[in-house]
This record gives sequence, structure tokens and C-alpha cells, in this order.
Amino acid sequence: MKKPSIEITDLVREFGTLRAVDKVSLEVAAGQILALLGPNGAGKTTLLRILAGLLAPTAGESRVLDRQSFPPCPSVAGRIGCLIDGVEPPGGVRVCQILDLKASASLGFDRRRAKQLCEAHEIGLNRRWRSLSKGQKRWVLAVSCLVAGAEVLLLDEPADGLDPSARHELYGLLREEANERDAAVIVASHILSDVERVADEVAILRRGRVQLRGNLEDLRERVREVEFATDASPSIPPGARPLGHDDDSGTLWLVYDNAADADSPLPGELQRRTVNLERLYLAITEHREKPEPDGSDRLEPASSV
Amino acid sequence: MKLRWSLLCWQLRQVSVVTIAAMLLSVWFVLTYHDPLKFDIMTWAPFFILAHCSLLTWRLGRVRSRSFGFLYGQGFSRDTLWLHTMLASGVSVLAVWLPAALLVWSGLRSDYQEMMQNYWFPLMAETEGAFILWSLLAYAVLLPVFHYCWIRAAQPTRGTTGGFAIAIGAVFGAFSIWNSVRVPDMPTWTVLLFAGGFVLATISLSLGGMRLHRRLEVI
Repeated sequence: MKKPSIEITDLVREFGTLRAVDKVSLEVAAGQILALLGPNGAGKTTLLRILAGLLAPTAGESRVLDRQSFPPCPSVAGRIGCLIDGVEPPGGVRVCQILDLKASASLGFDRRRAKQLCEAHEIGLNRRWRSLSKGQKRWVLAVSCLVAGAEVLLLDEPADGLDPSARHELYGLLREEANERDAAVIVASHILSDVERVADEVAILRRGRVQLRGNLEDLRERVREVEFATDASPSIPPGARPLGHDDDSGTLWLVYDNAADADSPLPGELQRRTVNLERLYLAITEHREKPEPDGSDRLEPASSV
Repeated sequence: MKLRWSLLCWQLRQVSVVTIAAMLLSVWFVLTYHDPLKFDIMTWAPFFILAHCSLLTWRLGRVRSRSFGFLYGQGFSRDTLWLHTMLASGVSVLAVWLPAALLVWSGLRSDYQEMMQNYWFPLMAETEGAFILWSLLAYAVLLPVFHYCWIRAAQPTRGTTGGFAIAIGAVFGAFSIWNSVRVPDMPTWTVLLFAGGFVLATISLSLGGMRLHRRLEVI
């Protein structure tokens, strides 16, 4: 197994009394794409900012390319490509100046490819930043990261504002970077269909904690959506853990330790289904909307499949 | 660390409006000011320099702005970013004062004042060169202090006041020392002591700023 390019251990980040990232542990190997999912405010952007060396962790450790992410190591800074949500160049700069800036910071920036990719989307290199549409701005920033020859890519909502064909192309380029150049990629996104198409692993965050992490194929095999009568009180079988519970529809989402047990029926169940990523995401985030009466969190944190 | 032109141009763009405005103001003032230019008896010059330093560091040190986060996420090392921030400040200072200096040193100011029938000129023209050098010295002291402040204020372990107390103290300290140095018949060793203190403060604040800049947080 390849040594992880990104290693996060018990990472915590607090802003005053708010704990934005809460004991997160993750690893991403070279050539692997990890998708970070979670509702707004789950801690995805903070986590990416820590990895990009923009924020210091309050506790725990985060290492990128075998160096502490903060304070950023000079020998590593140019090997990371990051697209962080909420930051952008000043409105008056031209596209070519943005690409020049990135080129002078990166070790293997491919200017010709950057030019081609921008012009293919009718973005002239002399256009000013403020004259670009939201999608065009996103495309320029994403392209500048993807052609920089980075060994680690940290992308926060890279497809935000892109049309479907541009999104398709962007994730194709991302897959190419991971496969051909062995880049380790973390991509935070709300567009689950895209994530399902390119990610090797997903991690679902909620309230700063990793609620579920695993390989997409494994998740499909080991997570089940089970329907009971609404007045039933189902018991959790051994070797399974609940991911979410919807009292109104009598639905329980379970993750099994062994895929072989995933299709064993439970007493009182009406229906059992495999779940796609969207259903799984909703199960976990829906649970957030219905906390326990005593305020406790029923989900086990950081369960890895 | 090597010079990156695109980064320097990027930083200069951030301060272009401040630089052009300050340059026009200094040129206009140096050309039209009717009394001899002497740093120690003019009140506007220290305030102009203070204002210029404040605006430069405000433009270059807006840690919470979107463009600052963008720049710091591009992959430059922290030392490279610090160096180019200081370079951009220095270039801005030279851009503001070089035209003014040329007006003084070339005699254009003197000729203009003589044309305006100012009785001081052209006699005083040659004594005014020191004014520019004193102004540049003031920048050399104040710029590292001002840059140190915003860098310190953006540390992960920042206090509530950041480094601004240091800035205020340094400015008052500089003016107090400046006033003491101007006392007639000051022994040479005292002047050298103050000068040494200035140099030491400038070097230590520059190096301290560079070191703290490595741990700067971009929120």
C-alpha cells in the first residue's frame, strides 16, 4: 500500500467556543480521490484550509506530503494545488495574470494546457476577472490548480456554478490527475452524482465530525435502508450500527460490519433496500434535523467502512 | 528565495492607487512648498509618511479579504510572500519619493520657486537634499513596525490587541527619540546610540516579522 500523501489524526479546530473540526482522522493515498460530503457548516472548508496551511489546528495533527501542514513547509507549498471556497482574486486582474501567478508558484505548471482549457470555454486570457461569469471564474481557478502538476489537490466545491458539461469535463480532468499523475485529491462537494462518479472514497462530515467514511463499493454492499411499521421498535442486530433513523416513515439505515450479513432480514421489517450515495447522505444529515430528545448524538462518530 | 516578477506585480497592483495618489501629492507639495524643506521643522512630512505606511500595510495586510486568501493559497512559501510584500512596500516608497527627489536634486524645485519670486531660492536649494534622505530613513524605521503589527495580529495565538500596541508605542518612541536627537550640542556618542537603536529595532522587527509571518493564519 502506498504511503498516504495526506494524513490527519484527531484534528481539532476551534473558533472561540465553536468546534468546527472535531477529532477528524483521515488518510488519502497518492492516486486516490476522497470526497468530503456534509451539510453547510459541517467543517469541510475549515478542514481543507488547515490542509492548505492557511489555518493552524487547535489540536491533533495534519500532515501533507509527510510534512506538518501548518506552519506551511516551503518545500511542500508549491506541490499543493488548492481551490478554497470564498477566496478569489481582485476584480481588476486578467486571466493571464492569474495563470502567471500560479505558474510562478508551481513546479510543473503547463501553460499551454491552461490556455487551451480556458479558450475552449471561451475565456480569453486578457479578460478581467470581474467580467467573467460565476462558472467561468470557477473554471479558471480549477484549471489553474489542475494543470499545476500538484501532488496534492484540495478542491472545495470545484464545480460550483459550472454547467453540466463543464462539470463532466472537470471531474474527468480530476480523475486523469489522480490516475496518471498519482495526485492525492480531496474534493468537497454537494453534487453527489459527480462524487459518485469520480470518488474512490467518501467521508461524510456533520458538526465537524466524520460520521461515515469508506469505499463507495463497500458502502453499497454494507449499508441497508430497512423499513419497519411506524409503530414498531426495531432492535439493532449484532454486527450492525445505525446511521440514521426516520421515525415518521419507520426507516432505519444500518451499516453492517460484514457484507454477508447485510441481507439477513430483521424481525418486523417490511422492506430492505441497498442505498445510493444520495440516500446515505440524506440518512445521515436527516438525523441531524431530528436529534434525540435528550440532545445526545445517536450516531457513532468516525465509523469507517 | 528568488524574485518572482508576477508576484511582485500582483502586490504592486494592490498598492497602486495608494502609490499614485501619494506620488502626486508629494510631487505637488515639493514643487509648490514655499519654505525650505527641512524634515525636523515640518509637521506634514512625518504625518504624510505615517499615512503612507498605514495605507500600504492596510492594503497588503488585509488577512481577512478574499484576495489575500487567494494569494496565500497559490503555493508560494511564506518567506517568498513576505519578501515580495516588503519589496512592494519599498517600490511604492521609491515611486513616491523618487520624483520628489529628482525635483529637488535636479534644481527644478529651486527654479520653479525662483520663478515664483520666492526670496529663499535658489540659495537654499542644495540644503534640501537631506530632507529626502531623512524621509526615507523614517520609512525604514516605520515600515517594518507597521508590517510587524498586522502579521502579529494574524497569529493563531493572537491576543485581543494584536501588535497595534507595539505600533503605537514604536511611533511615539520614534518621535521622542527624534526630538531628543535634535537637542543642540548633543554628544556624538548619544546620537550614535540612538542611531544604533533605530538600526537594531528595524532589523529585529524585520526578522521578527518574517519569522512570525511563517505562522500567519488566513481566515
